[in-house]
Amino acid sequence: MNHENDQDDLAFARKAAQALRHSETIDSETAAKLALARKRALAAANTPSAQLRSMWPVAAVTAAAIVAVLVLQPERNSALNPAVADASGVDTLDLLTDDMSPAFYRDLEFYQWLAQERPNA
Amino acid sequence: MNPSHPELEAFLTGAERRALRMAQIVTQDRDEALDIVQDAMVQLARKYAQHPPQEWPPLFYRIVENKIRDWRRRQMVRNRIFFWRAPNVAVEDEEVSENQPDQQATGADLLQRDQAMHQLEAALRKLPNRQREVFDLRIWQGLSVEETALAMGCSEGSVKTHLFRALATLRADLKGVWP
Repeated sequence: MNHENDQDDLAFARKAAQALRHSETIDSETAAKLALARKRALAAANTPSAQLRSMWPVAAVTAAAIVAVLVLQPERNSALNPAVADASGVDTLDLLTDDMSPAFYRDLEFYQWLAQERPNA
Repeated sequence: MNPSHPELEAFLTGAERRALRMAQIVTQDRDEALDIVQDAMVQLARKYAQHPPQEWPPLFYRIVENKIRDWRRRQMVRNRIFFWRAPNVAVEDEEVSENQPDQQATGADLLQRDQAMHQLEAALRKLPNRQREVFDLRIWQGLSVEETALAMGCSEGSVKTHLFRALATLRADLKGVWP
């Protein structure tokens, strides 16, 4: 039943589409008006605003690249977000990725002080 | 960037007559339909000339259908304000086509076909906007379900639902005239 309905719908749709396409004929006056409209549209494609719009993707990529550089630059990152780095200059990434024991980082300030006190040691 | 846009010109040349016919069926006025098509062509050229050509059909018909819908809304408001006036039912011109179809068809055949077409147009006008749009795009223009969904700004499932309802309504309305 459903299959029959689908077939009938399809047959109707085909016939209707064919008839509608067949009816797309126009007189010469309308054809001239359409040609004029098309000309205006093509002129609009060359307006500065249309051309500027076409440059938006390039501008967006450039802006994204600048933002990426600003965010990912290590020194700036530390400066902009002090929570990421502590006073000793060790950032979270170091703590997570190297093999040093946590005790080393706990005493890091002591080692730094020691190095300053005994530069020739 | 090519300022002459030959591809866009070819696309518009191929699409303008169908768009005009779609608009004319709803407006029943050739000048109103021409305004709709011209606005749609300008909008497509201004906003999407730099897009890949394969994106133009759904974009163009989306603009056309939006403009037809806007026209319908304006007409409804106008009819409410000027309710004492007769509704805007323009007498359709008997157009002299450039390429007269089926020269060998008999007068009776042509009359019957003409009446069937008028009934189809009237049935299309009676459809809710979304159902008429899906019929225009999917059946008449032959866009894929995906392209139709893109043009209508809805899901592919909605396209199928609207189309199912549109076909059921049209077939019920045109029973005895169309298969």
